[in-house]
This record gives sequence, C-alpha cells and structure tokens, in this order.
Amino acid sequence: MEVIKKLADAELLEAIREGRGLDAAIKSVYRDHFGSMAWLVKNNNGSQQDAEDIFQEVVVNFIELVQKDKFRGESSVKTFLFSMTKNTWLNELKKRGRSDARELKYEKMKDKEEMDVSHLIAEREAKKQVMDIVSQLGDTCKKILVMFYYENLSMNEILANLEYENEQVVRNKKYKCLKQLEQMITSDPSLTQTLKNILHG
Amino acid sequence: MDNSTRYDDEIMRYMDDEMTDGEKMEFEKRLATDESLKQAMSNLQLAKEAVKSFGLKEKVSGIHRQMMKESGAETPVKQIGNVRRIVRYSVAVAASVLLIFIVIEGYKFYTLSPQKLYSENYTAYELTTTRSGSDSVESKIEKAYREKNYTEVIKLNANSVLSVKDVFLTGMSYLEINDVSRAISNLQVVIADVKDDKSSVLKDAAEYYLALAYLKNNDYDQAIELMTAIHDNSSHLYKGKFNRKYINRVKRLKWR
Repeated sequence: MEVIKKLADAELLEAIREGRGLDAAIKSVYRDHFGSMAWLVKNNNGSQQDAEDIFQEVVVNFIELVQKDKFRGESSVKTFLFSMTKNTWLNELKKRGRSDARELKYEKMKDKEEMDVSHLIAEREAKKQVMDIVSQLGDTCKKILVMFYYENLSMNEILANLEYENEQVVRNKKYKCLKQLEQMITSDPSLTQTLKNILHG
Repeated sequence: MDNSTRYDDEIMRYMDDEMTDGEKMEFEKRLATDESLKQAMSNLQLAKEAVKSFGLKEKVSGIHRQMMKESGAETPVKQIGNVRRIVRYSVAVAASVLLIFIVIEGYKFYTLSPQKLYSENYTAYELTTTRSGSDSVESKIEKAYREKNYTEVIKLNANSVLSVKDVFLTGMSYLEINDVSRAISNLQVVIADVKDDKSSVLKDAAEYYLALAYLKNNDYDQAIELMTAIHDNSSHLYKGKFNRKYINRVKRLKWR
C-alpha cells in the first residue's frame, strides 16, 4: 500500500530539483493543488477536461522551472501554481478567441502575491509544437532517447530493454534518432529561435 | 559534410558527458570562439531538451491518469450525478403519478355508494308487447306498469291471482317506488317459479333486477354472488351489465 506523504513546499522543491522521488512529488502536487486549480478553470468557463489539461501542462512547466532553478520558493508553491494556471488558462481562452468576458472576470481574481509569468505564455505554443515533433519520431527512437536523456539510463541498461546486438548499435541508433529530431526541429527557423530563447532565456 | 555533421561526434560526447576533463576544457574553449560549433551544439542541445521535456510530459501524463482514477475524477462523478438526477426526477414523477392515482382512487372510493352504482347500471324494465282490446286483470297490470303507474300495479296485485309476469312487474314497481324489501321478495318469487326454465327471459330479467335490489338494500354479499353468476353465465341476457370492474366496485363497498 502506498504511503501518502504530504510534502512541505521546501521538501517538494528539493525532491523536484534533485529528481529523487519525483513521482511522489508530482502526486503530492496533484493531491494538494489540483482541486483548487481545477476550480479556478471551471469557475471561468472551463470544463473538467480543460481543468485537467491545463493542470497537466502547468505541472510540467512547474517542474521544468524548478529543475532549471528558475523558481526557488520566492512565493508559496500554491501561489505560483495559481499564477501559472490562471495565465495558462487565460492564454488558452485567448487562443480560442473567447477572451472578452473571461478577461474581465480574471481581473477580479488578481492576487496580491501574483507573479509575472506572462513570458511563459509566449513559449506555450512552441513547446506544444516541439512535443508534436517528438511524437512523430518512431517508437524505438522515442524509447531510446527518453531512456537515455530523461531517465538517465546507461547504454547497457537500454540494451537490456531493447533487442539490439550490442551497445554500439544502440549508440549509433541514438545518434541517428537525435540527429533526425534536430533536423525536424531546425527545419522551422522560427520555432528554432523561440526554443533557443526559452532554453537560454 | 556540413558543419553540424562534422561536429556531431564531439558534441554528442560532450553532451553525453563522455569526455575527459581535458577534452572537455578544450572543447569549451573552442565553443567560445567557433561560431559554427556553437550553432551545431545549440541545435543538438535543442533536440536533447525536447526529449527531456517529452519524457517529463509522459511521466506527468501517466501520474495524471493515475491520480484522476485514484481521486475519482469529477467526470465520472458528474456522470453519477446525472444518473442520480435522472433517478431522482423519475422517482419524483413516479411519486407524483402515484399520488395523483391515490387521490383519484381515494376520491372514487370516498364517493362510491350503493345508490351511485345502482343508478349507473339500472335501466327501467319496459314492456315490449301490448294486448290491444283486452280487459283482463293482467292487461290492467301491464297497462298500469306501461303508464308507470306503479302504485296502481301494486294495488291491482293485491286483488288478483297473479301470473309470474305480474309478480315480476309488481316487484319492479316496488323497486321503482323504492320499497326495496318487497321488490326483493317479489323478484325472489319470480326466480323460484321459473328456476327450471333456463331460457326464460323473465328469469334473466328478475335476476338482474334482484342483484340491483340487493345492492340498493346494502346486501353486498348477495348482490356480488348474483352479479358474478350473471357475469359468468355466457348465455345470460344481462351478462354485459356486470363486468369485473363493476363487481369489484361493489366489493369495495363492503370495505367502507
């Protein structure tokens, strides 16, 4: 049976930053914050599905920001997630061309501790676009790249998961896959530039 | 070979942390001055970061599904809510219909009376034949009955030797003037006289009116017994007068 542990903000940020116990940290974020963030979306003309999609996106962005040390607990995690959720949903509404009334309603929800996360909104579409590009890779490519670059598995461990002759074959495959992905991304100069801005911003 | 491919091997080794410290320092020095290398490195770095984001997105997506399932996400709850709402609505409608039914039936039961049932079913007996030119006692009774002079019928009855038909008309006359007990007595006499004549029109008529007379006199058991017998007799002339529904309504009178 899984032990449910409520993490304090500092513990949560440390777990995310270090990458140890990341699953437990994500679950903690869901248990502690999904309800109120879903309420925020649904109270502003969003559906349950909208709330789930937006929160998922916010959690991914939140973890990336913490891991890149761009959020160090200047405000509470809840306040930060609230700002991210609010801006992401506002951005989504704008994208759907239904901003008028909702924007006005959002004005009423302003939080004293609200942080400026508006720059994240501009990056949203580029991130979605690049996720679509990665999805277009073959399954084996995705597996090898994710195992190596996200899960930090060694070539030997990857070999155990795939039917290849030896590590060198896996290494070559990994190179070809990453190269293919690079070419798919850089074939769109505008996207490339936006992503570089995000990466080095 | 373009620049990006030319540099790929060492960029990969650098990105994958496979260089020695010396190689790494050397590479970083070149990176600071070689714009082509920097560009190639930057592009591959983008691909690597994209993979990391994709991996994280997949992880969060998996946990998201798990958490929604664990918490019984609102979508299914909503569905249950809808089902509950439909059930509640249906129960409310059913309860309303039941209540209306009970009120109507209650009203019917409350307003049910032997007189009402009697009036619903009673049709005055009418003579179909005349005996023109005759001056007999029988014809006088029949004539008086035809003229609805029921007291005259009863008066003539007292002074005459009566046929079964006259007894019947006398019974009918008592029924018309609401002397139900005497009506019952006369009709019972008629039935007793013609009991062996299974095809007698008079017998069927006497039974029909006797059943109604019992009803009017609050003799429910006898009324029900006779009405049921008439209903069950396929050749009875008055079978159609007492259907099951009518007999059940008479039965209800007993419960009041």
